[in-house]
Amino acid sequence: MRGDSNEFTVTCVVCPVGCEVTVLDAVEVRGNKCDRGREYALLERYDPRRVLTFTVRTTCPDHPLLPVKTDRPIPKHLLLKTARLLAEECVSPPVKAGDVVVRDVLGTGADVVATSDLGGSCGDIDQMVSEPYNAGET
Amino acid sequence: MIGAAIAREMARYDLAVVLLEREVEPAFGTSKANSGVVHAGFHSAPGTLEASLCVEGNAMFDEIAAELSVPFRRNGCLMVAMSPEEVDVLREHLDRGRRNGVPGLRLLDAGEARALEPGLAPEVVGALHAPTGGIVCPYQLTFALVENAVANGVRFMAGSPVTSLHVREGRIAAVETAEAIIETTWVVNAAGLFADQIAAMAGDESFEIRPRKGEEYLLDKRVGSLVRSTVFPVPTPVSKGILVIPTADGNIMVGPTAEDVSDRLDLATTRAGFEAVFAAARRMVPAVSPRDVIASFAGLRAASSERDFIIRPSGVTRGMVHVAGIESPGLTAAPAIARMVVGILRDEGLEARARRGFNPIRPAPVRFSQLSRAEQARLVESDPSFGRIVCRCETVTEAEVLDAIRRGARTVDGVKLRTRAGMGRCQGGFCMPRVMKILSRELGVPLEAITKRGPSSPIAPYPAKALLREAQEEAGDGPGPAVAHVSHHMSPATGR
Amino acid sequence: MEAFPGPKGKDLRADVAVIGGGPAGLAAAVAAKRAGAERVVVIERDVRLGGILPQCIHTGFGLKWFGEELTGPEYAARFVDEAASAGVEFMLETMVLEVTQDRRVAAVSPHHGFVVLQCGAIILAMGCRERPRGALVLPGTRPAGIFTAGTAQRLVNIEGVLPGRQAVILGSGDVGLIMARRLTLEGVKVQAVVEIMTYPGGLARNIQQCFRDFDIPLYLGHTISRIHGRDRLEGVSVAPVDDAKVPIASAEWFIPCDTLLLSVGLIPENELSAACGIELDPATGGPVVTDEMETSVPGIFACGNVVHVHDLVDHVTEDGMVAGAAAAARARVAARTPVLGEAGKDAGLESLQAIRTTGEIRPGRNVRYVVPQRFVRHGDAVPAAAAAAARTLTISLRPSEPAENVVLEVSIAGRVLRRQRKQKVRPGEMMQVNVDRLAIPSEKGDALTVSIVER
Repeated sequence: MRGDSNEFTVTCVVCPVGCEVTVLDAVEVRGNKCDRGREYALLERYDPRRVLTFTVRTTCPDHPLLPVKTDRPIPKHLLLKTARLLAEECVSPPVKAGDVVVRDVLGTGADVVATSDLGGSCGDIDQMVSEPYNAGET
Repeated sequence: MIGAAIAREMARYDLAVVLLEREVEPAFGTSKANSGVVHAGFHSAPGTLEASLCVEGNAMFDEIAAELSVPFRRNGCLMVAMSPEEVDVLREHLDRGRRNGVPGLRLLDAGEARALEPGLAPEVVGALHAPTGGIVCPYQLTFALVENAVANGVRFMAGSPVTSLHVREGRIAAVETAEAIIETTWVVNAAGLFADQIAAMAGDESFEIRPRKGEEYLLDKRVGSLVRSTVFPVPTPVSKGILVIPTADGNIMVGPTAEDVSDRLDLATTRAGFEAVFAAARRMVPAVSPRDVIASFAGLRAASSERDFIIRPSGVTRGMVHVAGIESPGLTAAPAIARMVVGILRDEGLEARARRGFNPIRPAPVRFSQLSRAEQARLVESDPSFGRIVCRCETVTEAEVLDAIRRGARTVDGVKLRTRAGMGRCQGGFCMPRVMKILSRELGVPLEAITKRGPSSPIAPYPAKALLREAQEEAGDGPGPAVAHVSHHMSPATGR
Repeated sequence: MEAFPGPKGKDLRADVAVIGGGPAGLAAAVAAKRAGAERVVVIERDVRLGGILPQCIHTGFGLKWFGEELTGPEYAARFVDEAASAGVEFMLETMVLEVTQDRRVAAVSPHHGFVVLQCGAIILAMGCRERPRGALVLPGTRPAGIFTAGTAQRLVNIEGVLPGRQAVILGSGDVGLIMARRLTLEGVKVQAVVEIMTYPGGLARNIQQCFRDFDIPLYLGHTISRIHGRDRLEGVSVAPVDDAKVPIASAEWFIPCDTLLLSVGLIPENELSAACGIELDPATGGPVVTDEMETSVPGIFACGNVVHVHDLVDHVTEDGMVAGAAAAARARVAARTPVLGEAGKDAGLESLQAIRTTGEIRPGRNVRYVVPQRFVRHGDAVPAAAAAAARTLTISLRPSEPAENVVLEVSIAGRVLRRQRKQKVRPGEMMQVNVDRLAIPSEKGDALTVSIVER
């Protein structure tokens, strides 16, 4: 991916075509078949960002982890640092998908939010299930 | 296996017996890799212990399998010849078998052989058929022997390798392990691969163990009916050859190879072994295919520097009886070996009065997958843990896993070998985490402490976030700039 | 299966029973309800719904279906919520033991005991399992520390334990790539990804994000030739392979690691289907299905990964929607004609089957498989003014080999019905092609063939 000196080449993933796009500098971009590819390559070169998806420990013995994500992409170079930070976290129920677990993580402006519910009390996970199958009826 | 059989036999007598096993569970040594063939006895040279104990043991198998509720059937052994020279070898073995007292042996021509086994290669020109040959599950047998021994008063200590033997005035005085010193004047050395090391602890260097590795390849149950009898080639000077074995559980197994190794813990399978096994197996049964392999493993035979079984009192230290160098047909001979050992001990002066209340029957474990729907329904209605299926491929219930733990399983392999959870098509992909959780709960240890087969084989030894937190500590980083937390800091369910 | 009543001698019935509460089953249940089925039951073996999705904490789900990029749990929640509010019933921790041709389902559960459901229609949505080490014949020892990628994912994301601190991954399919990223973010050192083919297996975005981001070495055209470590993994030998995919021993080298993840293939989980006597396609590993997702047994449908391994959950949802609607329609027919004919077969469904004929769809040049393998010939029964959806036959396929600058062709009896240019095709990326049913000649007998040819 790193070419000679300042050249930077990346395979665009915006659409299935997958152009190999090379960024020569902040203005010159080659290999893209459309503008989205140009934008993608420039961002990848100068400000690569990723959504971090992760898990956070909980106090529930039956559901020891809660899946979370950053609500927007954060700088790629902060992924591991954010992971280390979240490794210290611990949440207790109840949690609803979308609840903020850590606000403005590492000053990125992104919140870390739950992507799943964590039930009312431990051992009684809200399974989003309606009435259980009524085995007694015909 | 051998030690377990001896211990169970000794439980018939009013004796304080301790069975020591170096691994954390029975059968975790060579026994679990045994091919499970109950040999008819036409391979062994007449006049040897091997020969007489094999035939004697073979005849005892119906009773012992019934008493212990271990899957066993007499599927017959078939040694096939691919040339006229090999037919001569068949004739030699027919003679040998008759001299050993093997019942029902007969020579078949090509047509008869193929009528018996339609899967045989067209090149097969004749066969020797031994109807008393059988197939048993070797680890089920070992577990059952230990359970029945314990039920009848034997003390079983697992994870207890012997560290030294105390000898006083030329006689055994005690056995020492890491945890205990057991005072005793009688020791039966059935230590398999380590029997020579145990003997040396008592100053006896009369034999040497020279491990011989055998690789085995297990095929999907889908091709389970490729053969009905256990199919043998004409043997080599060193081993019975590579067989095609219909196992007690309905798989086909091909192997074993025979390779002398110096490392008595070398259990690696090899590319060369794989190729040798399939070439040899396909020569006899062409439909055997590597595409049907679901598992492979290796075992080490405790071959010795002597030709025959070493079953004798030590010539150096009184009170010690060696039962060493028991390679094939060791499994078959086991019940007879056990009887013989008790006889030797008595000859040496051990007083053995019959124990009142010896119960040879071991309660059969439930095998849910083999029951009728009506029986399954009855069980599920009576106990909800029969309604929780842990292993999808082999239909193993939580109840069976719990029972295995009650009967001594402490590890994932221990549960696997007792219940078959993890032995099916997906090889534990679905059930392993579930079995781990049940073990963790029942044994009261954290998930990260659960092992495959003992302390040196932990499966997932780090609790969640442990590596990141370790890195954080090392880096000396604090948690970074102040952040607004929504959660309270409480103790997590996992980790410290 | 012998006739056996449910608990306390009561008979249990469902209009549509869905086996599997993952994305395929949930979509099918939702669609069945929307299509008017009264009693729809989802039977799920785990303690929670969602199938494999709850452990797929990464994003990449729903781009097509919702136009949003969701994580696995979020995608699952959308359908669980919809199914629950539509009145779908759920049996959790319930494992199906058997499915019969007369549409009975036998299942066990700690909550419901032993149940037998008589169903109007059944939808198989059991997903797939992973190819294990045993099937690979990897020489070496049998230490702890070897996992299929999905099992490792379960341990890491659900059970809360880490498999080790230094990992090698065999297979560059999506699950392997995703776990390479996941393990790295949990502090595990991923030493290498080893891939036997000369091209990576997963989706381009996963290749990009999962290991280019972390500079993990990728060895294409290589495999693991040996496992080391007696009780716990100590390392692997890696070697390039020759044209026959056999490791070249002289070029082997050792990579230390305590964890090996295998991402070497997904296999549709069709034990129940095979035992039921449903016809399976060896090319997919799943049931032969019509474009209504009906199997060779009338009234039994299948959708999702149990039919063939999909790349995108959005396509799984599409399948499920088709199966659910068709199953609901079938269940209505079954309800109207409850008389069982000889051998317990449903006379109503059989007669319906006889009226409708199906045509065959076959994989042609450079196509490994097509799904569906059959399509219902409506003949003149498809009104010209019918909705576009009813007129369109969608065929999913995978190429056998990667290729560039090719044309995807659908033809029948030598005549090309549809042609589509493709810049790049890869076995790791499923394709779909639409065919206008009205363009299919009404003579029976000839098969539709899908091929990939040079331009």
